[in-house]
Amino acid sequence: MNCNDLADRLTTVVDGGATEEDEAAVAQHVATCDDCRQTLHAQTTARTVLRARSAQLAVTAPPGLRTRLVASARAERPEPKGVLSWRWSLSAFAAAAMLVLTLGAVLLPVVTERSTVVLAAQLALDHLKCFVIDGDVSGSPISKAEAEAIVQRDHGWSANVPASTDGLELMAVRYCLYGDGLAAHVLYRADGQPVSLFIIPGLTRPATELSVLGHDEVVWSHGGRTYMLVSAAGTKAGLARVAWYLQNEAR
Amino acid sequence: MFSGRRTASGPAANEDEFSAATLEFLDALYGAALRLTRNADRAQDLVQDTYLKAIRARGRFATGTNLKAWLYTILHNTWRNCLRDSARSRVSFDSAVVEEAAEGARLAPSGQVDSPETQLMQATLDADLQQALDTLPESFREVVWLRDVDELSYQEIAAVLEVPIGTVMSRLSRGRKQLFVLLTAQRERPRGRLNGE
Repeated sequence: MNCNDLADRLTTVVDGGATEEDEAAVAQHVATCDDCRQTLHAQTTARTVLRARSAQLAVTAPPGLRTRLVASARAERPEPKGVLSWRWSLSAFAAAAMLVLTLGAVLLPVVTERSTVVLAAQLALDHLKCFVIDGDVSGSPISKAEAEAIVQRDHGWSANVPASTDGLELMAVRYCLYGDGLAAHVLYRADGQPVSLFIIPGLTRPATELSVLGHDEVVWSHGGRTYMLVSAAGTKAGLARVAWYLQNEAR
Repeated sequence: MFSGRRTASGPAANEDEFSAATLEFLDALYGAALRLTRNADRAQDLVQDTYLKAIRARGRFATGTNLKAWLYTILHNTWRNCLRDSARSRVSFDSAVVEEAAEGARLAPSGQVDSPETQLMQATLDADLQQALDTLPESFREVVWLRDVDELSYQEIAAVLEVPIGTVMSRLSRGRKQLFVLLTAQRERPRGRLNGE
């Protein structure tokens, strides 16, 4: 038996994957060949040492790396159209947000009674907070029944939450800031773009469409509740289609 | 779901699930990147590139195969491209030269061959083992590591490194032999030179 011919089989024996036939051939050969016996011993020893010490050899990634990776992947996800339009004027947006939040803390229940625009601004912020700032809503869609159970649990009233349909996925229901949880915030993805539906009981607003804080909103009322659909600006055509579906479903 | 050999649920695995499964190998990926780049900052960059490529290409991950091996493949590819694209390409592997150089490391005299493995193992401090590994030529070190520490199969290692299985086996044999020599030399002269008689 030639040493070169045997080399790979010898390695396979060290790795524990050799056939009985190869094991026998290698055993027979090393009994008479010092070089190959040494090779077998050296390989076996090196592997044994490494296996025994693998835990000690492992390194730990630096603490910030995981966060950095997750953030980099999120930054790569398709930007919701229109989000850039608020990012470019982030300082202006922040000023508006401050104003609305300040007003909100003191005056919101009163002001929103009068101003659909201020209400729309507040909900645009809540939409941003839940969808864009708080992070992704990219898990699996939930069922209509699950969504309605969450509304019942969190708000204590029942709502007809429109189910997913072609091009529209029902993703989550969140307890929202506005009015101390008064509004139910239903999160959808329409063709991958974040869209929020707010259901506000006990409030009737005239149907309208408006743009505020870089967001397009569709407002309608039904059964003593106001529905406000919020999406980043620039998706108006899609938003109208979603609004039409939701208006028909959410009765 | 992800379990056992870390396989994805399907070609279009959900990004978050895929990301979570990938991040379970963060330490291993960082370790591999550190071995290749030998620089903490560049290792982090390499891991980030690898992670983003994996997320983008997750649809091409074959269900039922080894996710860790797949990630290593991306990492090594990325590093090879990086070397190719940069002035650092002068240190890219010249397999022939490397393997020839490694031939210079001879086995220990037969007198020591019969020492019990356990004795060697216990006498080998982790720092020394690390040092011995660092001394190995890169192409050997990587094969030995992927096989003996990460337990990848020959086939998987061949895919990661883009070399034939025969090359994997011969590098593995030579790398282990050289490591054995280095460890034996350390045992004799703990703080002396590692290599060369």
